[in-house]
Amino acid sequence: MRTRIKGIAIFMTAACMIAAVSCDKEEAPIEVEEVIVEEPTPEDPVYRLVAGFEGSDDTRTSLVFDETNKVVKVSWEPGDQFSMFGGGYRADYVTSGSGTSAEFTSPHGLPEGPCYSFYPSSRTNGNIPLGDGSYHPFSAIPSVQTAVPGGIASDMNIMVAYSESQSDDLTFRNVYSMVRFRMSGNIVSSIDSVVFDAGTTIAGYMMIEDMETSDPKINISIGITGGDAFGKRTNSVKLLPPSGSTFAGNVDYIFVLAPVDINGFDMFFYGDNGKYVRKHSKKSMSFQRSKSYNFGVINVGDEFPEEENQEGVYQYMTASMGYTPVVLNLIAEGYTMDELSKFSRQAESAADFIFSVEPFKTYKKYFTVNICKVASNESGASVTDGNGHITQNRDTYFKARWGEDSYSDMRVDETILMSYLESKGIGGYSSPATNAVIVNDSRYGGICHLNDVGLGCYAICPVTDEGGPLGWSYPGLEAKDNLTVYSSGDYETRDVTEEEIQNEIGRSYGTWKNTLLHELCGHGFGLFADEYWYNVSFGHGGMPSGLRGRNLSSSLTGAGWQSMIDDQAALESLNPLYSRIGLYQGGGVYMFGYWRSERVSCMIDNRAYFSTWQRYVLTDRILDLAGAGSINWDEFFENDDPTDPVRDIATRSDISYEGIPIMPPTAPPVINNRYYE
Amino acid sequence: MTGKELFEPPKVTTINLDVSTVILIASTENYKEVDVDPFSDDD
Repeated sequence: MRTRIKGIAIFMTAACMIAAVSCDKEEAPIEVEEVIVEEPTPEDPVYRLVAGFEGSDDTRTSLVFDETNKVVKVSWEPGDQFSMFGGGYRADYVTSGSGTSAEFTSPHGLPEGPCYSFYPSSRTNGNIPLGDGSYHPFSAIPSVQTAVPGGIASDMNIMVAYSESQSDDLTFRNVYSMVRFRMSGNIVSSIDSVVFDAGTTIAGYMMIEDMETSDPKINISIGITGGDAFGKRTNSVKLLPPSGSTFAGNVDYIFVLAPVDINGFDMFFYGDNGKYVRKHSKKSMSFQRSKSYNFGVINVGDEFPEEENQEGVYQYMTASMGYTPVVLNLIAEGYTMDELSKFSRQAESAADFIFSVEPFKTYKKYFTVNICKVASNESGASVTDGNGHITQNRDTYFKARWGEDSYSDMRVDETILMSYLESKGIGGYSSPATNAVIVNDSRYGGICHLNDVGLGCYAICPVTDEGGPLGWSYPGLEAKDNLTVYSSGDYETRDVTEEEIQNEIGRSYGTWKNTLLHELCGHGFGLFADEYWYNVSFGHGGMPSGLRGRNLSSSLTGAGWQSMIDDQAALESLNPLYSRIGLYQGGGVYMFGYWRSERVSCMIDNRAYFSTWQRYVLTDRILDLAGAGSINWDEFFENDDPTDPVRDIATRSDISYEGIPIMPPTAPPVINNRYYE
Repeated sequence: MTGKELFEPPKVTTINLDVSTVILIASTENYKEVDVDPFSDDD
């Protein structure tokens, strides 16, 4: 008998590779097309397989901690079920066995061809068969999880497997990461939730890719209409006490999260009295697939402290070198009183990120970082028509506003900002303190107001997409020749090839904190010009005066970093990465007429990397502001680290970057010299 | 087409075998454990 059964395949198009939140607001990214699948008639429907897996045991708990070998074994339990997909059909398998290897049976047959298996069956409802016959399941990490003493609920351990046919053995691969911890202190039994806040997406719906390999990836960027219903993406995971019970001291608890990189995080231990204990970590961590991170025992104390949501300024980092502190102020805008603790976490996370990047990392002890908790009457920021006229007003303290589709008119009320900083004694028009107004708005944007003398500079940067992933690209067209001086009407360009992107330049991904790094540390502190350019544009304006724009040269001779080029052989003997120093045409938004010192840096695509010359200038400025004397060439290179995380640290194999929205560069800085003329 | 419709599970169908069952062995992958002291001040 041959019957025709309708199935549905969902084809993903390039246009669908758009995250749920994107500046260009594309909708309906998935097209649905109906296909007809014929029912197979397997000649021999019975497949018998031989187990070849070692290390099986008979334990009936889902996770077995092997403290000696530092592994956590995943054991099947009787009744466990998974679903296998192939050729438009599904086969459901169940086991009565247990252990790390078990026999499963299914009453269902599949057509010949590749099979994609997903555990547990109960959570396969997001499975998407692609047009090419492969499957990319969607799964969701719940943002609210219920603790299971010493383990996790069995349906929390998402596993996938691939086989060439239904008759093959299966090895399931873990998809997510876990964190294990214990608690101590008198208040443990009064805690009614534990929240892990990473400041970037760690839960919600995500696609699983590369199931055919032994290293499946997760994709937290592909957005699909209606995906939130499956599990809204969040920056945090909340762990509730075991059902019908309370948390207890000295018991292992586990929560599951997406394998992502984070810069600092918070754990909140909320009491049944509404108060909480907050534990902040400044660590940058790289959570990886199929790894369990053991935080050990966390002492939550014996009582809950008072509420954090109050206005005021506190020092998050305090200079400890004995020189004049170099001051960064991180200022809340568009946060209501109730949101100020969220602002603190975001600002601290931003500071942690900045001080993980050279040269700020090496010279961290020269800095004082003030976090300014300023309450607004309303959340967010005003919306303009793109030309400074407010179309949608929000009552916020510093009056931040910018356009719905454009952000070059991004502004705050500078008088209010400077008055605030002066009133707190931490900055102002005549202060070298560098300021960042962090705006509680999920739109994209970023701008800096700076001047030739580096006083009263401030960046404005929104918390785009609440910390969701963003990307930036390298220009697609550049000057054909780095060393030829062109003039308008006489120029040659070349396309930047995909091979160059892959091998020499890399792709920059990050979050709003990368925008902040570019605006605050590059423009505001370093007084750098942008190094990206608009297609076929000529700059003939010479060089700016004062401290500004030292990262560029307007001629082939006399670049500030010429001594680095002259000394390049010696530098390369210190570290081959110094071979990146040179003269590259393009910068200051012009393709021709300005030269930069390296091909790519934070001032092009917001990556967490300043070029060697930029690091030198930044270090010079740190030492100058600190009153710590002149920069010393040898000392600088002894302390320097030229590693670019984009090019020099292996790309993560368990995260897919496909679908992350690629943002345009932010607008050039506003040069504001009127106070000093 | 609304988002909800887009996100409905695909209509993947099972095919019941007439006489027997499929039997296979499925094994799992261990998690590697990493010790972290997240709240120390060493960085």
